[in-house]
Amino acid sequence: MLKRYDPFAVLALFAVPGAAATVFFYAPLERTMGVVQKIFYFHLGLAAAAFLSFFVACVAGILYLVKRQRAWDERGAAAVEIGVLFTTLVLLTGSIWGRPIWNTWWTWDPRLTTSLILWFIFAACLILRSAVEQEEKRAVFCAVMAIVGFVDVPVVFLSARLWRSIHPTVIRSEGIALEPAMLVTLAVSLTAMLILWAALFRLRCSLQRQENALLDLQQQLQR
Amino acid sequence: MERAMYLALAYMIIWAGFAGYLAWLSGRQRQTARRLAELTAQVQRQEVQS
Amino acid sequence: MSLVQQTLLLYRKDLRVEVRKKESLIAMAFFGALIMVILNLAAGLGGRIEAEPAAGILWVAILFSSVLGLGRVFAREKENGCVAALLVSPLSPGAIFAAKALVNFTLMSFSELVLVPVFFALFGTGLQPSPLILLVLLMLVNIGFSAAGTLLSALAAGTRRNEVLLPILLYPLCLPLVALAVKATGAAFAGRPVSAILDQLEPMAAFGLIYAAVGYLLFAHAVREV
Repeated sequence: MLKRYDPFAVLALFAVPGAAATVFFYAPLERTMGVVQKIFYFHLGLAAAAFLSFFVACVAGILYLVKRQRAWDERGAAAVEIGVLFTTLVLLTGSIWGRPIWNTWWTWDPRLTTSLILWFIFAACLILRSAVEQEEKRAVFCAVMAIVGFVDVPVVFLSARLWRSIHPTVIRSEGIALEPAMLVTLAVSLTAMLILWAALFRLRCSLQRQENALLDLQQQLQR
Repeated sequence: MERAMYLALAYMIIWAGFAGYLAWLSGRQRQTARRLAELTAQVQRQEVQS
Repeated sequence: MSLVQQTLLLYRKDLRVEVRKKESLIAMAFFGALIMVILNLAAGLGGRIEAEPAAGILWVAILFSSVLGLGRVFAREKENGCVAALLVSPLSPGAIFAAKALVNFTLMSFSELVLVPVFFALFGTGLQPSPLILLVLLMLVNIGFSAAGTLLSALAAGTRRNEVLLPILLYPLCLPLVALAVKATGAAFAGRPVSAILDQLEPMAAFGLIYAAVGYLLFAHAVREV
């Protein structure tokens, strides 16, 4: 797939299995939740990567509006798409983790709720992208939406915390004392997820560049 | 032990998610590369004719 | 002409159009009332309803009816080919944004003048009206929703799927605003004092401020592409 091997992809190839090994063999067993708690390490990593993705999309949007260079639109498109992928996985893993712990597939826990709303905002970005055909208009609109969507993140999180004060049954993972071994595992998983994000981001950007080149060529031939 | 099933499920979904996305990207890339090659050949033919 | 003067000029013109034709207002009020009836039938709610579900019903009705007006404000400009005229005119894009947002705010407020009494008529048994708190909440939501909605309606109007796209873009963004409004309204309906909901008012006001500012800044980019 990658003719010249992207350094991040190679790194990810080692980091992700390495992190998994750390999670399964090095991390200690958590007392109350047992083995299911190990979902937490990758779940948090996925969430961090998703957040990073939306941040990058916002920055790319701003830079596109300022500079009007196609490369920034390409990066924005990649960041939003990958962000939606990671957020989907956050929601799924969070739900699976919650099922044996809280005995329900879904709970309006502030972080899951925040993730769900973020999923909708950035999935809407993807829908917007597919709804506009002219390149420049599409780029401007998606840039605006990415900025507006990311600006919403702190508001969403703040208001979700206010809901939480009314739902006392939420278990906060930070409330569980994290032993040093757990912290190490968390750091390893987080790093692996970020490396994976970088690899996917670069891959998706290059695909977008290719597709834009194709569009250019098609336009050239139509003349 | 039932809880281990959930753990396994979660990791399988993570893996499936990324693998699926990579497969989809790969498919798109091949399609784009093919169309790019076709069109480049077409451009070259046009240049030869003119 | 200063920014405020430009804004007021455009605002008065648009408002005159809306009031003369009344099509948006009537549609919004009618649709909102209809939603309330549908919710009553569909959710099987009748007789006494708890404060918070009742608040939810009110806000769903307001949300769905507001999107109608929001979408039309821009779509009408585009249909009549007026967007280019607006851009060529000496009006600054910021003034256009402020004026449109004010129009949307006004439309929402007028439709709420109808919808809130209808709501109390249909669902009001056992609820405390708390008019002052309700007014504050309505105004806060109207500000935030109009600001974000005006910006996004420019985006939606630039696509071919205007009516479908606007709710898809707008609702996720405004979910925190609406959720807080529902909680606060529910508390108000249950007769709790203002101090109980101050926590929720802060993020709502922040939302309005943030989106007024962001909308003002980004609108110029968006509207040039419509």
